[in-house]
Amino acid sequence: MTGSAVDVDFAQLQFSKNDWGQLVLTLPDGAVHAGVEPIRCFPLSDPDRTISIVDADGHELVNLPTLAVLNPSAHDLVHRELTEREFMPTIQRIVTTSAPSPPCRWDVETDRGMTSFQLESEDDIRKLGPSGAVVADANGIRYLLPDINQLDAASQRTIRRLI
Amino acid sequence: MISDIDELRQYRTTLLALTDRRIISSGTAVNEWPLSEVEKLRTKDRAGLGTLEMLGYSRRLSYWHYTIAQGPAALVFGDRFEDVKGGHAIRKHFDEEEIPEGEEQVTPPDTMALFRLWRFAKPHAWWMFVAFVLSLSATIADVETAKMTRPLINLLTQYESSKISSLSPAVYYLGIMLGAAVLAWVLGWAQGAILAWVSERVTGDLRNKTYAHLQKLSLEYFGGKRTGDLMSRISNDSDRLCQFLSDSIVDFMANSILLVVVAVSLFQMNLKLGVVTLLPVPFIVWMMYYSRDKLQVGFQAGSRAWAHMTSVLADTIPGIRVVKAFAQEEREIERFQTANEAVVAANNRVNSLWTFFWPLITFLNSLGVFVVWAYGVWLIMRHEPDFDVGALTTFVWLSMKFYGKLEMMSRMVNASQRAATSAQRIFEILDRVSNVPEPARPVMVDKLQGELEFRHVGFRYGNRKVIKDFSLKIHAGEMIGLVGHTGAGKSTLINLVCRFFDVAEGAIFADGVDIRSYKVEQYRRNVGIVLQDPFLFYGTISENISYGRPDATREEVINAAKAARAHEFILQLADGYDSLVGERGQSLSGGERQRISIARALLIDPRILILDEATSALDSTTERQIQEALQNLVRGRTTIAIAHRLSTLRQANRIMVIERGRLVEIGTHDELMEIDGAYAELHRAQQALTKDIGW
Ligand SMILES: Nc1ncnc2c1ncn2[C@@H]1O[C@H](COP(=O)(O)OP(=O)(O)O)[C@@H](O)[C@H]1O
Ligand SMILES: [Mg+2]
Repeated sequence: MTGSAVDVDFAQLQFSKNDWGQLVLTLPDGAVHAGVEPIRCFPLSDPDRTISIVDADGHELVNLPTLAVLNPSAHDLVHRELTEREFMPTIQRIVTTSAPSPPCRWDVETDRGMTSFQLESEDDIRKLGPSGAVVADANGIRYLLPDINQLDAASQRTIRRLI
Repeated sequence: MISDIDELRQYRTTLLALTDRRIISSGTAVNEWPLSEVEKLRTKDRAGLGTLEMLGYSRRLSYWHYTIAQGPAALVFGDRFEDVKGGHAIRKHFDEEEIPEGEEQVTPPDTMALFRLWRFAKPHAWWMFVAFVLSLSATIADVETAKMTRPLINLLTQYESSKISSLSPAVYYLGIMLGAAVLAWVLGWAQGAILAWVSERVTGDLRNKTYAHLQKLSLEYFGGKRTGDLMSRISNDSDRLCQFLSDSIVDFMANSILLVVVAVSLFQMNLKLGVVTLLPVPFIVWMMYYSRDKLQVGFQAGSRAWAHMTSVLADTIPGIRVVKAFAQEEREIERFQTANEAVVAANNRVNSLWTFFWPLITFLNSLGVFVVWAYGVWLIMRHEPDFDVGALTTFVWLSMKFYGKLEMMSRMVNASQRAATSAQRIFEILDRVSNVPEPARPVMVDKLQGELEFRHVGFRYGNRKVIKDFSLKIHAGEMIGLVGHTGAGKSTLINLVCRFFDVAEGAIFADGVDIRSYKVEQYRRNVGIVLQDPFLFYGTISENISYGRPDATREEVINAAKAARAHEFILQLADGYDSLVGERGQSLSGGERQRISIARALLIDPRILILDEATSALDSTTERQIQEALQNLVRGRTTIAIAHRLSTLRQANRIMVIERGRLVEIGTHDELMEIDGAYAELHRAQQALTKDIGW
């Protein structure tokens, strides 16, 4: 098992992109792994900590406590890779809903633009921490609501009715 | 022991006694047999009737029958006989005083269930009293207003017959009437608000208390109960109680007092008319009383039917995969319909009773008012002194109030019976004492060393002896493999170690102290268990892993998951450790669930680790991975691992084989192969199987 790589000096990790667009990790002992992936262990409850780098087969190579332990160039590469991998728009406003309760369509304004999705059931809305929520649409795309209290009054009413 | 059925299968008691030389029976006659003549005792059990046979060397010497209740005693009798026969004196069985004493349990007083609710209402007694006073004042205000009618009517009749020329005093009476109405409204509102709050609180407390009590009951209780029934008791029955408390109970008390007040005013005004007014009352009260008993039976049936219906739901919704796999949807629909029809039928029975009694009582009440009219007309006709139209009006008004309240009270009979039934069902849970009692004088323990010793442990489920005279010492940190056929009693042995059940005979010692002396909770914190069929709660993966230690850090959770070889598959899930699992959540495969439950057991860092066929659900590759993990984990922990695949037990220090609840062999793999007994046979069988199907 490669679990022993946990003890590495994180600043020594070298990341690069190869011609295939894959992320390549060079470990301090010289071992090179192409096609590695950064994965957040707690993407919802604590996204910035414990980030795992796994190889193409899904085996963990290193587990980073935070991205900050990396050297600056590696930090940028991994960070970019993470943002490319993830697609979780943040809902800023719920414009309209086709019906007061699911199943219904929601038109929302997100940090990535306007969109509309189908919400199948109340169970697809999950509370996150004291005042956040995650909404999963019929296709499994998730939308983040980091803090319900920050929304406008109408959006708050819509969401509070459902959680 | 006692044989309670004779040869002719009549109930008759015969006492059997065993000494170190003889077996003595004393029924209609006293018989005795020297032990030297008795070869063995044999117990049989057929359809609830047990038979103890005493066999000599050439023939059956005698036999006795007994009922199930005597079953355990018969088994003990047989065991003791073997002890004595085996040459050793009657073994010293742990005497009563050696068994750690359980906490004293007070038996519940056998009063009406509803009165027992007082325990929960007591903290709010003050508020209930306020509500009672409010309710009473509201009704008294009502009655006093009624008395205004006499002067008012008399005033009006005099005015009509032009005896007086001014109606101005009427304003005074009207004002009082209006004021009383407003007062009654405000008081009623305040009383309603207080009662609603108090009754919510009382039933909330009751639910909490019942659930907390339920959680502490031993597994035995849950084994004999249906999930749906328990759920309906805690949710449905407590809700009924809440309604009763808020709507009925204080009103009932206030109304009873009001009835007395009204009756007294009636008598004061006119004795004869008072008596006539109250004439139908005894009959109505008798009817209420009669219908109460009838209704109680009906409500009990209703509650049972309802619980049965919930049970069907609680059964089939989690088992929906099996239902679908066997295409039994139609049958399940039918099963639900049957249960539902039973609910409808039970409710209909109650309703038909009720719909009969209710109009009858209403009729009797109207009759009461009618009698007042009739008698009043007759009195006026006779020009009774001190009686006029005004007095009659007041009388009619008061008697209408009186019968109105009585009608309301008879309606409460319904509510109170329903509530009493519910209260009974809830108290049935609360009255149950745990079969795994907390010690009266607990021995405190933080971390155990992990040394375990079984001393002559015996255990039975009802009449069936599952563990027999099991003795073994396990050193701290030792790993013991446990093998045997299914039904041999392996899981049962483990249930005893976990204190899911308590031993019937002998004792289990951990670090030299009877495990019944430890506080259950403290002791269990030292025991990690991984079951064959792991259960995950609704929640995230990280919540499930940290179930036994909610304060664990994320690093600890990850480390436990890594050790259980779960980390990498968790990373592949969309939300990593934040993925939802359990009911409705992300579906995990059996092996994945198993690895999470292993991580859960590891996180509490138990001194005693128990694996009950923990790796049976895993494929060989995963099993090998977990084996590697276990190698580190079992180090320093006392481990008991049950496995069907003997290869799983390679690292075990010793392997024990149990058959029908008895320890038959124990030793290392090599030693057991050497003896060439049960283990070697199992081993050969598996080798052959491996070759055949290429496991
Ligand atoms: N809760 C129970 N009530 C009655 N009998 C039980 C109960 N649990 C197990 N048994 C019986 O006890 C015997 C031993 O069961 P168990 O210890 O589970 O065997 P295994 O060795 O397969 O784990 C079996 O015959 C089983 O039917
Ligand atoms: Mg078992």
